[in-house]
Amino acid sequence: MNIVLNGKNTDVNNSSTLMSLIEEKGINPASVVAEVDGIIYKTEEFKNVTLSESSKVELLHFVGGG
Amino acid sequence: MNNSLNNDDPLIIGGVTLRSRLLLGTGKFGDDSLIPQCINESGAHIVTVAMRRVEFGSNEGNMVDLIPKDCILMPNTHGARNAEEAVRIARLGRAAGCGNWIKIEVVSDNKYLLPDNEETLKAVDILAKEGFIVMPYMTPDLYAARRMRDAGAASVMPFGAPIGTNKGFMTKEVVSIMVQEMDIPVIVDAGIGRPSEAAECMECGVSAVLVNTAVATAGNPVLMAKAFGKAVAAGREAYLSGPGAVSSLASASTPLTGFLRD
Repeated sequence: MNIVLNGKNTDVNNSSTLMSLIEEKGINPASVVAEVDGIIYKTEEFKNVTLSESSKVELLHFVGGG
Repeated sequence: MNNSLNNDDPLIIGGVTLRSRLLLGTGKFGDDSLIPQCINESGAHIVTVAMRRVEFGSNEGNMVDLIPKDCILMPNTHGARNAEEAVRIARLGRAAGCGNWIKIEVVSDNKYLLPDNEETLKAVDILAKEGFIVMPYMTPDLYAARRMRDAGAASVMPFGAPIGTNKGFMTKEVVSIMVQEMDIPVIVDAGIGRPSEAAECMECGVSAVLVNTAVATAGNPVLMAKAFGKAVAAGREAYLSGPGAVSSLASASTPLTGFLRD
């Protein structure tokens, strides 16, 4: 299945949910903010979000800033 | 911790009594492990962060882990070029579960990084209605500041000088007017390069100062953070005191009697 992840076309054969995608990428779910097709999800919702072909996913986190 | 606030002179924003009039940014540190020490030595209560896409495969730590739990984490909307992008970033920041504070930063000029007051105002209006504690970074302008206040901003944050320049309080005259005329906190954000310049802001009646580059790029960031904490407190006390009169003519500090001479 191809999705658009952080602006790039990405193949995610093994990830059907947002949570499984985050875990597949080796990211701590508690440290990341997610948006799928324009909808923002909280951490506790990740496991209930199903990804589909061409889903547009943004995974963000806090970095240093002024 | 350097406590720069006293109970008789509270700074209350968003219903929170802040324990410091210094806000600290977390960008540009050559070594992020210094951030917790800088925060502690400065006494800062509000700490800013930015939001970025995760870089897969990197060993980046979690920025939130570097910020003491009793600090207020305030995401900025850096990267936003218009109100729509700022609102999106703000909503994403809140989804992280770190609170309702947001610094609105809308910039489409890459040369001077000047904030766009018009787009910032639109974002203030939307986000204030959604319950955010909105702190807009702005180009100093009394009319724009009033509009942002009327739209629900908790403070206004005019720049002292362009971001990262360390040029000091270049906007002193217009910000001083804003301080006189505004009934919400005026916080100088950006361009302050030295503790003396932060003190200068405070002596003018500015409510607080936000600093990042001047600490992060200092020779000793921890020591500089401590210095800024002291400077902000000193400037506030000087403001509350009121300075002595300025004169064109000299006036001796010592009595003009009892000289050892005939």
